[in-house]
Amino acid sequence: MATTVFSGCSSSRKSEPFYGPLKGNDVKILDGQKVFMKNCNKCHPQGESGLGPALNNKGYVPSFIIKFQIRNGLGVMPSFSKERISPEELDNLIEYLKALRKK
Amino acid sequence: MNQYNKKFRFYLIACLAALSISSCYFMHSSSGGGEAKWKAPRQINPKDIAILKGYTIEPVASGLTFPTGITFDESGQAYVVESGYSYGEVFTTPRLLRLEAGGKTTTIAKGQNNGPWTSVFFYKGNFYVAEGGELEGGKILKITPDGKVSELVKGLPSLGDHHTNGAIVGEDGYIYFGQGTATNSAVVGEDNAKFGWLKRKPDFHDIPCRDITLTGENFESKNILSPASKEEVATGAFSSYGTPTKKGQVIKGKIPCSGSIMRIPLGGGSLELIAWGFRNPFGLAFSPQGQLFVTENAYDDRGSRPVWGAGDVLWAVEKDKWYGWPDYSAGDPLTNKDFTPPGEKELKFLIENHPASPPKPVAILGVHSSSNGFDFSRSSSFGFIGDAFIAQFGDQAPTVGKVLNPVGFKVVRVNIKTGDIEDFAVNNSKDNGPASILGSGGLERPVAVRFNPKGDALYVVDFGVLMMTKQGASPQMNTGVIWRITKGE
Repeated sequence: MATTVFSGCSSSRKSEPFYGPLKGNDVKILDGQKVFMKNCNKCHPQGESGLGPALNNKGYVPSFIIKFQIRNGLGVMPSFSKERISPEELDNLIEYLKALRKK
Repeated sequence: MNQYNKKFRFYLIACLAALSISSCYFMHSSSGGGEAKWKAPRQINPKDIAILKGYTIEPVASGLTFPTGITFDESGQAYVVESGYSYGEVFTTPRLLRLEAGGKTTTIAKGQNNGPWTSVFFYKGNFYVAEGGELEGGKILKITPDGKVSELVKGLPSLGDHHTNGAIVGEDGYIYFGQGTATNSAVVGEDNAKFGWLKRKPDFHDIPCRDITLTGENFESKNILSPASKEEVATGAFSSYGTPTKKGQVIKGKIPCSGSIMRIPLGGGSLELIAWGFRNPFGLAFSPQGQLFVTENAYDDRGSRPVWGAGDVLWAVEKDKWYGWPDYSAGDPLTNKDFTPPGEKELKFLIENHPASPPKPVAILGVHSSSNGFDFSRSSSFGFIGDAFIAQFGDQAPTVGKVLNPVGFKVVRVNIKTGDIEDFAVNNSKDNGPASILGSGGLERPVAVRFNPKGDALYVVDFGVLMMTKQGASPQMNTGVIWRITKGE
């Protein structure tokens, strides 16, 4: 549990200088990237740790858990209602996060 | 494994994941990019920088002291300004330098003890410099090629946290510049004493550009100006330290004002307000289509009215619009719980009658990234035509607030149509951060970028080492570098 706690704060380098741009033209992933940039990037810059922890280095986490956290917040992380991120946008955001982690 | 065990495992994983993420912020101490010890000299090694495939970065000059801007004359000759001031209250001599072959410099002009010089722009035979004005107020200077300095405007409200910035000349022949605010969020407090200016200028405060009506929120603090006294004082918005305000009180607007973009004619003359409601509008640039854009350094988690989670912003500037400071961040109201510092009460508005809803931002950059000088690519010889390249000076944690990992210390590329932000040049290391804490020879604190007139090279002005100690900022002289990025490997 301690390993999990502290590893949650470390980062992974997967941005374009390291791994190149995201591959493919999947519309869902591209839309998800826009949602990420509008809502998530400021605390998790390019998916790395900044004000918040890294998002791009997590192993498998079920989508429903990620959605739960986004909708309800957790600790210092705020919640994002359906008015801020619609259900369709949330689905696309998950696809983007998956693509980011696969890099 | 039966279904109950499967469900138990799922919920256990969920709880562990939640615990790891929620514990992160409170269990982890601040780990900003300046929060480490550093030993001179600065190493310089472009191989320690990861850059987008197909591009090359190389150093062209080093040993500079607090460089903040670069420009080019008609022949493509590069010139750099050294600011003459750094946070940490270090005053040196502002200078305009010509970059010579081999990284040498020739001094063209020196300034008075009124830095920082925050930018330089060459236009039709002369240089135009934003003098930040920490001691005497901000100015816009004109400097001739033979080094003669004259003032086009002076007395700008730059005596506080933020300065006169980013002077550029538009095709209309006007000089546009940014004017930063005195405070973090419109209330003078202890944090401003730590910056150094409150005891020097105890009556200084933010000035609105238009008349505003206050909600009368006041903030208590120990009397910093009389430490022997145990009294507490109340300070209101847009007021000097120890001056409370009342609900319905009107603060008259005037020009020049805090948190604005203004312009003057090329030869000097009347100040004209272009837009207001910014916190620290630092970098200005015109897009290839002629639209003015600005980078805004957003709120910090400090002072009498701390704000949490406010990302820096890239804005398209529209005339006469209000951009939200001190009650909005990137278009969202500060009363939104997102901006409440952990463990603090929810923020309240300071202004009763907001001029309008702020515009939507073009892009929202990292919290505490200090996204500063930027430029647009205009040529296929570099690529990414129309994209903005932004220098991120990097966090000054813990003074600005706590971060889990260094933020900034890189050059990013922004697609202004989609708002997508991508790293372009970052240090090649396991973690993000400046070269000084990584023990490498890469980027330290990029503060500005500018394309050369041909558009085939992007120059990066790297301020140098600035550590964050218990006493505050600790800048290191002679550690500034100019980098050049070109297409090709």
